[in-house]
Amino acid sequence: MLFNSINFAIFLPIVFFLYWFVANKNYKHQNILLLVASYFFYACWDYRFMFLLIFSTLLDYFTGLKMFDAKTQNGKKFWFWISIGVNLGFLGFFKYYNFFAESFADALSNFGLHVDVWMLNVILPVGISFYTFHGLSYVIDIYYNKIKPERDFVDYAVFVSFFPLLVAGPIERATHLLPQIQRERKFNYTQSVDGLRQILWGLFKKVVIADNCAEYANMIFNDSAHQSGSTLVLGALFFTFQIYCDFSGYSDIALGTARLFGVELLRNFSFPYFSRDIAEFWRRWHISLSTWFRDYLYIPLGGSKGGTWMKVRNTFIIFLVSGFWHGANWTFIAWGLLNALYFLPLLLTNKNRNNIGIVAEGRLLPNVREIFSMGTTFMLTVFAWIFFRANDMTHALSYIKGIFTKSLFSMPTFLSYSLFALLIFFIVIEWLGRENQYAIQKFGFKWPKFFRLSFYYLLIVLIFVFMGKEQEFIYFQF
Amino acid sequence: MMNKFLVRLLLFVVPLILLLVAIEWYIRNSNNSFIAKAKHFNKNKQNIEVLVLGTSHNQNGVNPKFFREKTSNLAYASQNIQIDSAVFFTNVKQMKNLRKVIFEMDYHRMDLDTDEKTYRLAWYYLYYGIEIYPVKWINKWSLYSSNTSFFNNVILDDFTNSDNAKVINEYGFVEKNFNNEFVQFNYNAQVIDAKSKQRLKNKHKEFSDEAFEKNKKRIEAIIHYCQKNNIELYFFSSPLYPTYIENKIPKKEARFKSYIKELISKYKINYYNFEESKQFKVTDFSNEDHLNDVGAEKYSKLMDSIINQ
Repeated sequence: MLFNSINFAIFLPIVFFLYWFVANKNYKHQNILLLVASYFFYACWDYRFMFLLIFSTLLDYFTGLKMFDAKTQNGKKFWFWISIGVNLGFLGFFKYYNFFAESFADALSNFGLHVDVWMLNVILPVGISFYTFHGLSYVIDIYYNKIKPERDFVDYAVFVSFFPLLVAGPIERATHLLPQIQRERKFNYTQSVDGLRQILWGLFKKVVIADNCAEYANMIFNDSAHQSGSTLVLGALFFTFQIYCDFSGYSDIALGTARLFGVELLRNFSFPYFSRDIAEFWRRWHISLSTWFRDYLYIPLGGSKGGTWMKVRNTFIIFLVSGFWHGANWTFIAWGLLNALYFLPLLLTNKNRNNIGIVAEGRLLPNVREIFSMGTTFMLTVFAWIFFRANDMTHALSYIKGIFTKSLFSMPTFLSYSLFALLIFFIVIEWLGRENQYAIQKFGFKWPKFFRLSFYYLLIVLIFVFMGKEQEFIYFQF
Repeated sequence: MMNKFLVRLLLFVVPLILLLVAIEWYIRNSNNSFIAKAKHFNKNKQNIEVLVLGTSHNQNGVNPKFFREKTSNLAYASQNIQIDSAVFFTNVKQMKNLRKVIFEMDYHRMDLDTDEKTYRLAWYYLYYGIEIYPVKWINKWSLYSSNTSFFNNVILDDFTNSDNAKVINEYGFVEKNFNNEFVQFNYNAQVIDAKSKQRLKNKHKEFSDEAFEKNKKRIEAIIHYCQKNNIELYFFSSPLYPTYIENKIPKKEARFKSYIKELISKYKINYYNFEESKQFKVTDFSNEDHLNDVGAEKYSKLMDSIINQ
């Protein structure tokens, strides 16, 4: 069930009604309802993988309890590694088996040995990377005594499977989400209106911007060998907006939906394309994943406490793992590596925390220096996205090679003035709203109500006008 | 608080629901060839004597108003043999007066098959009660939801380009203002010849043994039914512009011709081939494989005289 589908538009009000009018007497009943709704939501994707989700939930629930009740450190460690091993084992099997098998066969063929490796012929269970990371954070937090295990299975299962975040995040933490599930939730008018507004903005980003950019980006990337340099640049730009609006649009809908149920999820995006350096970009892009890696990988590896070598090593590790998390392809690893290289000069000169605040805060326009630094960071990001989008490394390299030709200065082929107008409209709104949680959170609050409502209707009309075929969200494949 | 929320939400949503209802009403009553054909067919089903099936070749080439008998032309763009067959068998029992069927037997049709993503499947469900692949529940209720971008363009076009609105007759045939590409070339044969190669580069290049075999079975089922029920079945190959014929894939063409020979010898079918007919000039075509309204009049009258011989 896609967020941008009619089915979801019917599913959501039904669950909302049952949640606040039927199960509202007791938050435990609300949790049972959320769990049933979440499993139904997941089963609509593929009911065959339900067992995997339930198994993963049961595994982490029981290992969490066993770790806490273990009388010795070895016993605790045993259950901890059982959970880590099985979780990563499933993830590795479904997501990375074919990649490793193929790479192994390729490596052997370099030595003249030809082996027929058995390949897994199964689709990737949707959301596996997300719910596995949910479970891992829970187990790791218990192991390090940051939290106590949840004894109520339903509460824990809702934490793992809460439908707004189930298939593409944000990747929640037990310390943040579980307390909200464990207590009574009261309907809050302001929070619910805010949620609806965020859903609207998320849908606009997904349906109007991302899906339209996708059409052109796909045409250009799928036929990149025959495109001029300038068209290839345009293709990379379209993909840059596609991936941001697709994923942050999904996150907005997820956060907005959760708000309708009185739940606040972790923020996932914070206007990353207005970043002034790559370090700031990574504090603003897929925040729930970057902070997950920071807390559960970078810091346990020693973080930045060791010497320079340790910092550099750990930075490269988390960028490479982050790239690999996105998928079993060398292109994702190259994308991670490239970002690590972008990050390196800032790290070595201790400038990686220079830009902490909001760009041009309190001002309408940025200054020249800010424009320059934002432009440079944006271009570096666009370049890195080429690897992310390319089918394989050969494609990525030929794409880049195609850009740096004489035709870079020719007129691009895929010019769509309506899409350019929409992109400008979108960038202006995002810029004006960059001091809020999402762009239209307080947009037009000083206007007369009629104009503000007209603005919302305008967004809805644009969604209908530009609505094409329902397209899946990119991050579902991860 | 909840009441305030629900009331305000309702007030916000009601205009949108009304807008969607208005859009649905508008497109169901809009100037659309498919809808007009279906409405005419469903209204006159019991009295129809001649049924025309096929793709856009027959859609644009056969105008029922030139037929002596009560005729319905259900041919439509990209309507493959599977859909023809479904339309025929779903409705034939209710067509008490059906005497003749005109079936488009064109070179490109045998290699085409429906897939579940064909967006017009919802239209066939709504207007002919056919469900070849499961149609989404929402599309069973709303024509607009079956292809929002298509209908958005239709609506925008209606409002921004009303001077060039299509003129559709009671049978759903577009008599004026349909897309005539040869007009752009002033029917200049030299220009058309020069442009055709590029224009036809990717046209009708599908080659599928699987689809071919399936379509053979579908056609033969229609033949059997017609023979059993005393319905005269006529196969026509549509007039084509010479550059289209030159662009045919020889292997595909040979297989197609061989199948027609097989049909003639096995079932003694009535087959009429107008592909290279000298009766059609450049000014009768709207593009390399479609007739325009002038060509359609000519072709329809020819068909009428043939089936009334």
